[in-house]
This record gives sequence, C-alpha cells and structure tokens, in this order.
Amino acid sequence: MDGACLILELDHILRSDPLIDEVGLVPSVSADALPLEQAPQSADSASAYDPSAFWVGDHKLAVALVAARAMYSAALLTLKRARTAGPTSTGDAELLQATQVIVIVNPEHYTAWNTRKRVLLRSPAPEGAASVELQLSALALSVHPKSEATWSHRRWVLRNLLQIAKSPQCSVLEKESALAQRCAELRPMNYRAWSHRAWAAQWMPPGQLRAELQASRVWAEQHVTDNCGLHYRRRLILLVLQRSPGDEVTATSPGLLVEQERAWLTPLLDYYQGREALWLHRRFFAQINFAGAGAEPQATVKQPESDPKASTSPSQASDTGGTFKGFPVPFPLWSAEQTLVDEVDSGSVVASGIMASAAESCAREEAFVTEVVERLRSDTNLGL
Amino acid sequence: MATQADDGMTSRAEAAAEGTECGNAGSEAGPSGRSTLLVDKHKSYIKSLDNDTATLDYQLTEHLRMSGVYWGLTAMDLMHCLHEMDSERVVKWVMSCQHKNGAFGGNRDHDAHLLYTLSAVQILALYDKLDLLDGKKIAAYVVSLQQEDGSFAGDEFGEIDTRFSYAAILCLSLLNKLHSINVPRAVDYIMQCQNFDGGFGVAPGLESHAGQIFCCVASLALTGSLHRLDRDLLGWWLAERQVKEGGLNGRPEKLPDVCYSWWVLSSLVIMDRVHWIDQKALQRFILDCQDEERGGISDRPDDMVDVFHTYFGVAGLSLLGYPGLKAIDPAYALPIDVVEKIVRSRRTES
Repeated sequence: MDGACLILELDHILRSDPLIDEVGLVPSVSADALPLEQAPQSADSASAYDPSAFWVGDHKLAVALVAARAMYSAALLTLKRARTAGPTSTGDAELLQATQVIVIVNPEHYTAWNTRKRVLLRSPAPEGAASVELQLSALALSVHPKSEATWSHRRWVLRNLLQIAKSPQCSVLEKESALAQRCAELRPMNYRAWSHRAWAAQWMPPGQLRAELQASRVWAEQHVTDNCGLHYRRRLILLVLQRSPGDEVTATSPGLLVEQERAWLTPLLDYYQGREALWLHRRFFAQINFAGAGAEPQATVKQPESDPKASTSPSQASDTGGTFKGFPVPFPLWSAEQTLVDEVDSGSVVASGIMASAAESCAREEAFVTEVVERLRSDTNLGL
Repeated sequence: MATQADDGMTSRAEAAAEGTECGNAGSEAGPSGRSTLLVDKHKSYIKSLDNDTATLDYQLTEHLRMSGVYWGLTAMDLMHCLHEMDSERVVKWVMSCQHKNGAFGGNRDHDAHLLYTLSAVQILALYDKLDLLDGKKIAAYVVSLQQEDGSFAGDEFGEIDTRFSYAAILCLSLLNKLHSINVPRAVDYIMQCQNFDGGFGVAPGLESHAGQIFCCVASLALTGSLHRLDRDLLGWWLAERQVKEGGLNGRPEKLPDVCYSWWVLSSLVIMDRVHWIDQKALQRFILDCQDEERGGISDRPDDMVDVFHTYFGVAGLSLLGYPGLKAIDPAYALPIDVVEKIVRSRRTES
C-alpha cells in the first residue's frame, strides 16, 4: 500500500465528514470481513478512497491495520524531512496531513502534536483551526481515551486558539465535559479524562455547575467504585460554594449542600459495604466540617477550634495537616490561568461556612462507624 | 544539599535493615520458577530490547526511548551488570538527542521536554559522565519553565504537572544547580497540590495519585522540606494501597500493579512508614510478575512484560532489601553508590 496516497485519502475522508467521532484500527475492512447487514459502499465514496484501507459509515471510521502502518511510516518520514530541512521545506498542509496520521495511530507522539501547534500559531483563522484540532484530538481519544499528550493538546487549543480563560463559552465547556465522560466510560477511573473535566469546570458559571453537579450524582450512583467520579463531585461542590455561597435562588447554604451530600451517601455506604471510594467521600465531608442544615446564618459562624488560621490561607492550613480541622478549599485552577485565582477567595468557603466544632464532627463520625460495624456484625450473626 | 540527600538515604538504610528479614521470603511461596529473582533472564530481556527495532511496539514507544533506556540501565545497574551494556554507544546516542538549549528530547528527531532531560541526566549520572553537560545551560532551560506560582511547565507549550516539578528539582540537584530556581515557591506549589487525604495530584485540587505522590514527596525530600508533610495522614493513604494479593495499587479501588511497588514504596521509605505494609507479601507479588521464560516483569502476574515494569519491579525489590541487589535511593531513583559519588565529588569541589 502506498502510504503517501492513503494519507491524502484519509484527509479527504475527515474533511468531507466533520461529524466523524470515532475511529478504529481493525485487522481488515474488506467487504467480506464486515457483517452482512452493513450497506455496501456507495459508488462515489468508493471512488474517493481505497475500500481495502478505509470504511466509513454512521460517522465512524475504520482503518485497516496494514493501511495504518503504511501511512504511519510515510508520515514519520515526512515529519523527519521537515525537521531536518527546516520549516520551509515542507508545506503546512502536508505537515498537518502527516501529523494527523501519526497522532491517530500513536497519540502519545508529542512531537507530532507540537508540530501541529507550531503550524497553528501561524494560522490566519485560529477559530477554524481550533475546530479541526478538537475533532482530531477527539478521534485520537476514541482510540486511546487515556492519552495524556492528546488531552494536553486539547487544553492548549482551548487556551490559545479559543481563549477559554478570557471568554469561556458554556457550549464549549459542555462538549469538554461530555467528551471526558465518554472517555471515562471507555476506561474506568481514567485519571487524565477526569482531570480535564475538572479543568474545564473551573470556567462554568453557577447554573452550569449546578447542572453538572446534578448529572454527576446519577453517574456516581452507577459507578460507586470510581473514585475519580466522586472526586470530581467534591470539586464541583467546592466550586458551587465558591461561586455562589448562600445562593438565594436555590436556597443552598454551604451547610445544606453538604448535609444533602451526606444524606445521599449514607444509603450508598450501607448498600455497597466497604467500598473505599465511598468512605473517602464521607471522610472529605467530615473534614471540611460544615454544620447541619437549617443552621443559623453567618452571624453565628464558629471558627474551628483547632486553628483559626487554617481557613485563611491554603499554604498555612496544609502545614497543619491535621485530620479534623477546617480543611482548606483547594484552588480550583491550574496555574496557567492564574487570572481567575485572584477573583476567588479560596478561604471564603470555609470562613463563611457554618462550622461544627471538631469535637462534634469527630463524635458524629465515630457514632456512624460504630453503627455500621454493629450492623455488619449482626448481619454476619444472621448468616447474611 | 548533602543533608537533603541524606534525608532520603537514612530512611533507605533503615528500610534495608528491615528488609534483611524478608530477604529470603522469596523461597517461601509463589509458583515454582518465580520464587526468586531471575537475574540472568532479566539481563537478557533488557539486552534484547535493542534488537527488535522493526516491531510495532518499538515504533509506538520510540518517543519515550530516553526514559526506556534509563529504566533498562538502572535495572541493570541494580543487578550489578551495567558493565555488560555498551556504554560508549549509549552515551553517544544520549548526546545526539540534545537540543541547542541544552535540553533533551525523548529520542532523535523529537522535541525537548523536561521529563526526557531528567532521564538523560540520570543516564549520564549512572555512567559518571555528568561532565559532558553544560550545567548552566540546562539550569537556564529549567529556570525558563518555572511559573510565577512556583509550578513547572514540561516544555514551551505550558502544560503544568507535579511530575515536572520533580523532574526540574531532581535534574538540578544532580547538576548541583538547585538554587537556580525559586525553591521556596516550588515547594509552596507542591504543598498546594495536597488533598484532604494527604495525597497529591497533578495540580491543585486534582485527585490523589500514587505516581504524583512519589514526585511530590521526593521533591520535598530533595529540597529538605519533609517537615511540611503530615507523614501519618499520607502514610495511612499509602498503606491502604496494599491489596489482598500483596501488590500495591495507585489509587482507591484499582488493581495492583508492579509499578506502584516503586511509587508507593519509595514514598513510604522516604517518610519512614514502610513498616506499615506487609513487605513479604509485596515481595511475593513482584516475584510472581516475572516471565520465567523470556525474562522481564509485568504489571500483574502472567501479563506481557515491558521494560517499565521490569525496572519498577527490580527497584521495588531493591527498596525491600532483596539480597544481591544494589540499594536504590528512593528520591534520586538511582543506585545509592551513584548518588554518593555525585555528592562526594561535590564536596571535593567545594
């Protein structure tokens, strides 16, 4: 197979259907290898590409492994030539076509992603270029949902081409969240996908955050061992509290939100006994240490007995590192977008929350654990 | 710097002392053929990695070859057989991956990155060839990647990760240029990445992950900042990583994986909490992940082996004081004799 020709054909396929959202590298795409009910290739698409190399249908693309190898080798040669002879030797279009193949076959090839970034920085129409990059990186993730270099490239595009930090758009953020969820389902406990989702959530306005929080509850109930999903939930709750503490519209005080979380968690802990991820979730809320629902407003704020400074500065607080203290709210942001950090007072949540005393919280947790252990013991006695 | 290095090494010495009692545990259990470390098999497996350059596996991992070579060579050195590798060829190849700014790519024809710069420096340290490097130039590169908040980008495109903090700090420690960067800020940033469970994530507020914890704990050790850690809180989370099979996982509810025999174990050793896990059970788990025919170690028993898990398996056994292996420094991720030589030559210089 001629790798150079196939590279052009692949580019044509992707351009003619920007809705292709999944690619698979498969042993064969010839007609007799496909299930009978698959429609045969239509005449004009058959003329556009080699049917023994590619198959397209329902916005999905299959590439025969032998074709992928031929394209990959040719693409590496193009990239190498461009790097040896200097940037002007190879046209931008050719470089984009070659690196497109490299990252679909091997999305961890960071030099290929970087080469694209350099070309994109020269692009006269960054927004158009961005949508191509978002499609391509989503395709790469459909093959390798954990690919770190791909997630990183996506963030670079969002930061540099779409200026996400200056003008966050709900629709863009929603797509990031949906893609991350899809990848999290393709690979359970997919750390990179969830980190990306948390990164995107930092720009969501309060309304979108609440919708996200609501949806994450259902997801977490269906994936009780996925600590990533529960961790994301903790972050969403902190973000909600930071953005709109004591939101009048939804009448959510920090204490109420946390109390609702505990109420939701208790039957889960009962039903799925001994799951570490669920217990960690409970521990988090014991540590941030808010008082119960219906508590008095801020006028009666009680500072944590242990160390009042703990709620004023994250670095001071983490120095103390104790278990039952007002735990500092982690910054929601990665440092590349420092501007927003200053707008959010990370200490304010803890400070404005209505603290239970450390002793109260300890006693409450102890009682809960005793209850669970007792129940386990009686279940065992009953032979359950 | 000497005292900072000692911090890690003291803990290591204690671990080795404790490890002697479990040193013979290998013969107790495990399927036949896997009850001891198959040094000869692993040697020939690592040597064979250079021969199969036409395979797809090789092509798909060529971008991280610098790290692959570091893993393979360090494993060889821990097994006392580094001299069996062609040092001249290796060093020449490493230097051919260097860029004008002093930084290294993952292979020839690859962009420079902080992670591969560290691997290159570690390889040259193994061969006692750090004098080939222009320390000032590399330090300037690392300094250029430090951000206002103390974090580090991996390269010019700005991705931030606590792994890059470790790469920066270790790279400069080996070159005796640690104070080129703003160390207090770097440490403050790392502390911002700590979670309620004591662990650390990729960035502030992200989930605790044993790989990132190693990077953060080792960075604190290298900068003399271990006093900022609550060792009991983090030690608790780390000790919970041990599962029934004896192996360690990297996050709650995950399967055990040999690579965490390094990430989790080295953190526990640095924090002097290694006695909180069942070391004999862990040793049995690592040994059981060996391929007794081809050599090499896999993530879990009977999976495909690779050089990454082979190194982490051998390094884990070294931390457990397995007989016949060189001791490894848990923060430098290099054999202790290599680290000592570097520290000694620095003392002579000053």
